[in-house]
Amino acid sequence: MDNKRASKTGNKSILKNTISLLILISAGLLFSRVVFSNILATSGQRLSAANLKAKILQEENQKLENRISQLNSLGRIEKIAQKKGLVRTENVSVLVSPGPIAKR
Amino acid sequence: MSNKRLILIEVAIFLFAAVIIGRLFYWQVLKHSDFTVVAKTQLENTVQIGAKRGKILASDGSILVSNKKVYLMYAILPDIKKLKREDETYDEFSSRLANKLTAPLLVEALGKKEKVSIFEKDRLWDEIRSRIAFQLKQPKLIWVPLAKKVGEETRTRIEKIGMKGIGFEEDTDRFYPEGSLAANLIGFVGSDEQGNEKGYFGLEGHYDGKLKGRSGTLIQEVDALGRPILASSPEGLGALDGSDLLTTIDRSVQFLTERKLVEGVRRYGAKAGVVIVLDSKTSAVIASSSFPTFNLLDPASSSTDYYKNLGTSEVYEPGSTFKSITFSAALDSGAIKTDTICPCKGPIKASGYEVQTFDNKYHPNSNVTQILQHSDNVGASFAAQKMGTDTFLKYIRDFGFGTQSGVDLQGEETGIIKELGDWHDIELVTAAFGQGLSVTPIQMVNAMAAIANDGLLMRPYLVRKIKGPKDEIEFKPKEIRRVIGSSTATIMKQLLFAAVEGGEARKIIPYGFRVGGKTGTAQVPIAGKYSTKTVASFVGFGPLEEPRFAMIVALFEPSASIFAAETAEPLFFEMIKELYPYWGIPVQN
Repeated sequence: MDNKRASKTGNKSILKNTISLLILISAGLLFSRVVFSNILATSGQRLSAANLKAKILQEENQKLENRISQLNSLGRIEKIAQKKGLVRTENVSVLVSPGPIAKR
Repeated sequence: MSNKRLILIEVAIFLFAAVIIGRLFYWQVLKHSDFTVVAKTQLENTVQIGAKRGKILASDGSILVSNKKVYLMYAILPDIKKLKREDETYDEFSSRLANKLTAPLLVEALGKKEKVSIFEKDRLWDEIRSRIAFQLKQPKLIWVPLAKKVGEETRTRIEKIGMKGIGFEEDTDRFYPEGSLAANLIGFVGSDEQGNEKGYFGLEGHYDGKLKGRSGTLIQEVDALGRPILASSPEGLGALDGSDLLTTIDRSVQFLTERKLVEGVRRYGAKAGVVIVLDSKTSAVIASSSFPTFNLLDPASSSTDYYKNLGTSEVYEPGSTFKSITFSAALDSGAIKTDTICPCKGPIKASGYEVQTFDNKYHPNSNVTQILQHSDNVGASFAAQKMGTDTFLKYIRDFGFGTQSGVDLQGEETGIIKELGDWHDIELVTAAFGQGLSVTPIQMVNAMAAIANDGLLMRPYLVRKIKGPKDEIEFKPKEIRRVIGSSTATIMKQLLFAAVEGGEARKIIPYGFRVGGKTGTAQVPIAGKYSTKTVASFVGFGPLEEPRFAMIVALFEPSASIFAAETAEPLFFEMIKELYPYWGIPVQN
């Protein structure tokens, strides 16, 4: 009789623990779901912003590259040189380094 | 409950279930494809991703062609109409608005032109203004385009006007930091029949497939507000940007030759001119200039005749420059030796025609050096006759005449070399001094480069690397064939050096540049007869001891003097006078 009562009490305790565990798991999953949904909901916005930022940076990079090549253009440099009164020299000497002694 | 009532309920339930099943079947099976489309449009956002066109770079990596952001300017007519005053007619209204919008657009259009007369300015104003006024008057449309390829500065200026209903849509356009430099080499980008971008002429035309890349689509799941959802990875075909072309063009040499060519064409009153500079060891194209040329910023404003690259597409009779090929062939085949003496006493006869020298003066008992120095047609004919047609024609073809050189530019011509059966005595002797056959400037300079390169003919090329988003292709110099022996090439270099040093122009060319080459003054055939018009050219290489370059200067129909020794040759030396210090080649005192 005592054994039966003890067994019943044991079963109740297991059931209680199982239910508690299930409630805990459910709560955990629910919380995860909320967190995950929240991340998903805001990530789209973040992705859009990142895409836009990347595009702006790429455009800025292209603009700067174009500006550099424009400033480097030979036509522009020649115009500036003429404006500043620079003239082409007629007397250019090219110095050639002598070869190694063993080769001479 | 009686059986009847039970059966009635069963039937009712069955019918109800059947209706539901039937309806579900209708929506889910029969209408499946329709709803899939509706669901896709609500759930998915398809983004068209345009591929960026590749850049064209000079040999030092500096930019010759790149891309820039431009805009399509449009008007939303219902918004625009709100600006109409009650006291004005619709014509007056559209005209008033068009006047406001035209000014900034005109500034941009003028910036693309090289020189604009007052007449041209007025014409442009009228053209832009009337186009805008016409579009603003469209009665049944809501959205109308007003101007294409509008720059950022112009957009800012127009936005400052503060006109409601005017909008801008992003687009791209080619950007040329060096202006129209190397226009004939680069080509331009226009539209094909479907309105897609397409490269025409030059590198843009030849490498269009590589440059344009591949546009793509991106399918992304979106939320109710149209923002992308990260739950699934985007599907679709990604865009593949176009590849960049790293060319062999030396920006400084290109700039110099272009400037000098324009000066030369104007000074000598020529109809056109061309300069090509090759690396004599590899046949890499260092520079190639044609004049007249077109405005890269506004190709439509130039004549279509100016689009082609004269260096590869102009076919002309080479005249005496071809004697360098004749004597290379004659010496290499053993038909003559350097000490072979030509009687050269007077005109010779072939197929009933009389062949004379250009000045009708004769130099009896000339050797090869003297024949080249005097540019003696009779002497060259003598060498050709010694070889015979078969041998001479074989060498002509081996040097690359009559076939495309293989240079990577659109629109290359082959020149005209007759088939063996069509050669008679007269063809043999005239070909010896460059008449009766046609070549292109690139063929001629490449043949000279082969002589300078110890007899090895290389394939001329312009692109040394294609840099794609995923891979790189590198092009190495490519040998076509050996055309003459190394020893013949050495002799020819000496002979061509002597031809320059002792030639007609020896008194006007600067000393010490150690250049080998040959002039050519070829009469232009018109309607089967030779006219008084000429093509004056000089093709040479230098320095003699260790050639680094081969260059051709050709002037078409010069009027100041018809002779190459007084036009093309001095222009050639003007250029190398500046190129030697740039390349660090010493000049002998």
